[in-house]
Amino acid sequence: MSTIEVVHREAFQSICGDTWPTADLWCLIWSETSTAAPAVGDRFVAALSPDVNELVTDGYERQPLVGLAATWDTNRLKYLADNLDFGNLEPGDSTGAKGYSVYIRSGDGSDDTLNRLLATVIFDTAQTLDGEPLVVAWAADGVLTDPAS
Amino acid sequence: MPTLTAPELDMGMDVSTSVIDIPPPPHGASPGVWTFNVRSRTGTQIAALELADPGGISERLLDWPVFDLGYPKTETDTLELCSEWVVEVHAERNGRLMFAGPFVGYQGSAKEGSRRRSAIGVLGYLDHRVRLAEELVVVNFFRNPRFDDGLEGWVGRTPAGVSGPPTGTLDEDTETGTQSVRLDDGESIAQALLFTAFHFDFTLKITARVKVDADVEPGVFITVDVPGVSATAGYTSAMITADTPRGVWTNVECSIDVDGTTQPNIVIYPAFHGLPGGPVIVDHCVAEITHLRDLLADNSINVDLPEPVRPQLDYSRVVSNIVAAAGSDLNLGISAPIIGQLTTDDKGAPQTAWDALKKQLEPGAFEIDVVASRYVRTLVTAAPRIGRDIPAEELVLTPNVTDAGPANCAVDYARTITATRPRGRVWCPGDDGMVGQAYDPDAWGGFLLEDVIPGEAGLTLDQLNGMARTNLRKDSGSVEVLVLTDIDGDLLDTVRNGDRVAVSIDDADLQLDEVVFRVVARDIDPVSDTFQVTLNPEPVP
Repeated sequence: MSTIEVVHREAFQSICGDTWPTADLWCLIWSETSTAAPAVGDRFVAALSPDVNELVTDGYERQPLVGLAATWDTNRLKYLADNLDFGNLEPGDSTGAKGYSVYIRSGDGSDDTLNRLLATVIFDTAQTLDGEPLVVAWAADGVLTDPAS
Repeated sequence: MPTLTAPELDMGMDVSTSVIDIPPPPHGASPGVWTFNVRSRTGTQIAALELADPGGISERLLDWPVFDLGYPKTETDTLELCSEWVVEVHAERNGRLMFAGPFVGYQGSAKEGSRRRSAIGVLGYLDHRVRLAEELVVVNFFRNPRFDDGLEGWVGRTPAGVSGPPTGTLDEDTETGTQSVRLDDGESIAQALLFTAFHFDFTLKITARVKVDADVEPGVFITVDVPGVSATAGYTSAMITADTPRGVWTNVECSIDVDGTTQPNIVIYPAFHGLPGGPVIVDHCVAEITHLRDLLADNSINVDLPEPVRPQLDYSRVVSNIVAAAGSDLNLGISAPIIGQLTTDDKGAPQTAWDALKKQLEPGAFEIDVVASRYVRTLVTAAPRIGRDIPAEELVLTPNVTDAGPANCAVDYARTITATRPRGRVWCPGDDGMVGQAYDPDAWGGFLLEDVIPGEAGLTLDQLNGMARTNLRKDSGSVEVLVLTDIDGDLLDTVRNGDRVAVSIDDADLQLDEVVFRVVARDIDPVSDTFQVTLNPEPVP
């Protein structure tokens, strides 16, 4: 299986240069046993069954995206954020991290049927938790890019 | 350290798969059963308007519909729930949503037993959300930055600061624009950027998108100097080094801090220089002020921007930006497939989202509609036009006053031709002497009747042509208008605004045999479960 990369339809409908810097964006991690099969039409986090697919281990918490900025560069908008550090995570119920989702949080974020998905990536191999910081490192072009044409 | 290295995710890649999931309409239920409810913008039920006395639903192409209903004034609890702009009224026929939008009006008097409440469609929200000038953050201060107009606006400048004609040559090797510039050793292109009455410090970032030949020797590629006569003297440069990628498109950039407090006018000279060994191809250049958004938000300084050259975006991206920026609390999504036509995202001054949208619609490159269910409302775009061609085998609208065939729908027709503003040929002058035009040589019996409609600033020639073509037929005062009345409500899901449909009428001097018209308006009467359509001739000349 190869890496699954999905930009959900909600991203196209909700994100633009005006909205990105102030959006309440969060990131969650999918566990090594995740069977989540993201599709473009998935609107809410609940569609990917986080109750069984999300990482579970002591110290893990979903993280807000910070350092948000939208910049125009080389004929495209780049939606930027700082890399995320989920902290030093030891193996627990989950032993590895297989992917991530970025979503727009609704309210206090406790109801995944309202948290709207923007992008999901599931890698073909999981990163093993080893007590070192688990990091999500964004691409040079940012979390998302939006071409001019 | 376990690291999830994110791939590049391009939002453009899924645009074509953006579809609207709306359940198919029920058919065959006659007469239609209409229901009316008060709901939130997200579809939460608030109250059922079981005693509603509905007025008409009036739909116009490329505009929001209007609707009104009466409700007994003794039903105070229900009427109190119908707050203007806070809640919406939803009208459904056999469970199919036909109208959704906020209450906007109230009318009542002592002698009347009911209160009339009026509402407008969800597009009306856009007329009450304002776009600010925030995205000026992406202003590019170079004129003709992609060389679409050749070398217009560009000069040459030696490393010693001597200006002259540009010495680069136009090239077809390009990443984004129509042309690029090839710089060989000793050649250069440059522009003088004038900043007037800034009175604050700022940082200018210069970027060039380049393809460097494999044999180019390392050297200074970008120079930026600020002469001391206009501000505190400054200089910076950017090199093409041995590590700069060769043979692929890459960025070379540098930044310079400008002391804008000492002089009213600041001149900055960015220049791009060819190097020994081989050519450097320049696709486009960007000069932008970093943190411009913060500067614009600071009321203590007066930002008087020079005439900017804004980047061009696809129409669909501009419309998406407008709708998305209007706010997610409207529960109005957007589905706008890329159409390949570029435009300028004009946001120089605050304007309502609706005004911004109308400006984009004006050239006629695309049209909009709203597809809605109780919970999901989506503004959709279609290029060049919305609607479908209804085959004559499926439906021919035929009033029963004629003997052209079995009357399948309309009870009557009304045909008007008012030729007070005839337009057989339309001219649309734009910037820089460009003129768009559209011409129908067969209109008005071949007799030439012309009109001039000024185009918006910044339109391309294609856009001006589109605007002319649209107006050739748009003015209802100059084209035939045909109205068919009392059409059975069962056809509401078949004949929609924007559709092209055949009409047959055999009545004295009016002889139409499956002539195609376009639906430009619908007026729906829920009480009789009928509607009328207003039609314009097709095809577009």
